[in-house]
Amino acid sequence: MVEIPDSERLYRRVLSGRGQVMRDSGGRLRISSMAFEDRGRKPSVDRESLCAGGAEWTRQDPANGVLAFHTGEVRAIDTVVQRDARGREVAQHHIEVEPAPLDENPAHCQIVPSPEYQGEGAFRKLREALALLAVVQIAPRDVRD
Amino acid sequence: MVAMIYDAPAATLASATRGRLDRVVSGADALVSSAGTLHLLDLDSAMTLASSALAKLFAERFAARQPTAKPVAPEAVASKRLAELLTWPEGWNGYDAKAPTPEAVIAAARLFGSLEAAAREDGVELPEPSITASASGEVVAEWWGGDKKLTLYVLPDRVDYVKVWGPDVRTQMLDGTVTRPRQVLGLVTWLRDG
Repeated sequence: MVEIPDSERLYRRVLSGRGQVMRDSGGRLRISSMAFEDRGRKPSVDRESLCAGGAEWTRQDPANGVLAFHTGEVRAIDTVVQRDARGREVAQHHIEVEPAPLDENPAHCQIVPSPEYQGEGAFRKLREALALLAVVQIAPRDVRD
Repeated sequence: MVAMIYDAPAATLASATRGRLDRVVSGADALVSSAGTLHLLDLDSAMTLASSALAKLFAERFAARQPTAKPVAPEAVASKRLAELLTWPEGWNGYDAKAPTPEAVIAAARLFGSLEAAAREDGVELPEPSITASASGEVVAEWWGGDKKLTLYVLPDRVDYVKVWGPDVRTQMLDGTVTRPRQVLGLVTWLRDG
């Protein structure tokens, strides 16, 4: 498998009116951890170098927004842990970005754990970490100035 | 105009209320009013507020049944946003998220109603959360306070939470579960603690 370089910029689509990006009481844009929610626990992102038109490729609709971050930042999260009810560490998951090209989207890749998550906790914390490191490249319509 | 729903057919209720309900949450003790807010009501409130036709329907269908839902005032935290969640389709996040479920929305409305009551009792200001949904259809509430963040996953029988006070997944995030509104209030007030 071709490894994605750390310097590769990644894009994630967010929709207007869904609470994935909002302004706090001070007017600051905040990214929800739900911006990285995924039923398969492998959030989809697009590689900038394969996006014809840059972030617009991922955006798809003028009302939508786009979040951005670098592959190396995701790798720097390194490991997320699953703890039991007593707070004991029961699993470690290494985080990687892997290409997953689709017929309609050759830029598609996924943020994947190794091994697979056993419970919700580790993926929930990964989403929080991704929300903290991502920047709003294009704000969704409902939170634009 | 407000009323309540148990498991009466939506069409029957819409007819009984002469179209004054935008949407009903069938099989549950809730509805979305024409003002776009979510209401959970007990039977007495429904009898008072609903049309006579609807009251008759309740009386016929639920005479022997004691409702358990508590009212949530229209001005309750985020009731409009909760109602809005019911309109989100599959794939609402631009990827593969399930539509928020009525059960999840009702659980959240109950939680916020209880949370507001607890906050009033304790004289605590309850900041309005940002409300969205998870990919599996749960209601998710988020609060930010300085460098701290709290995320709640509202489930019918419990609330899962993630406390965040920095980017390090191992040392600056904590997840857990609570079951009582006052415990949830404690999490919210944590955001303001030094």
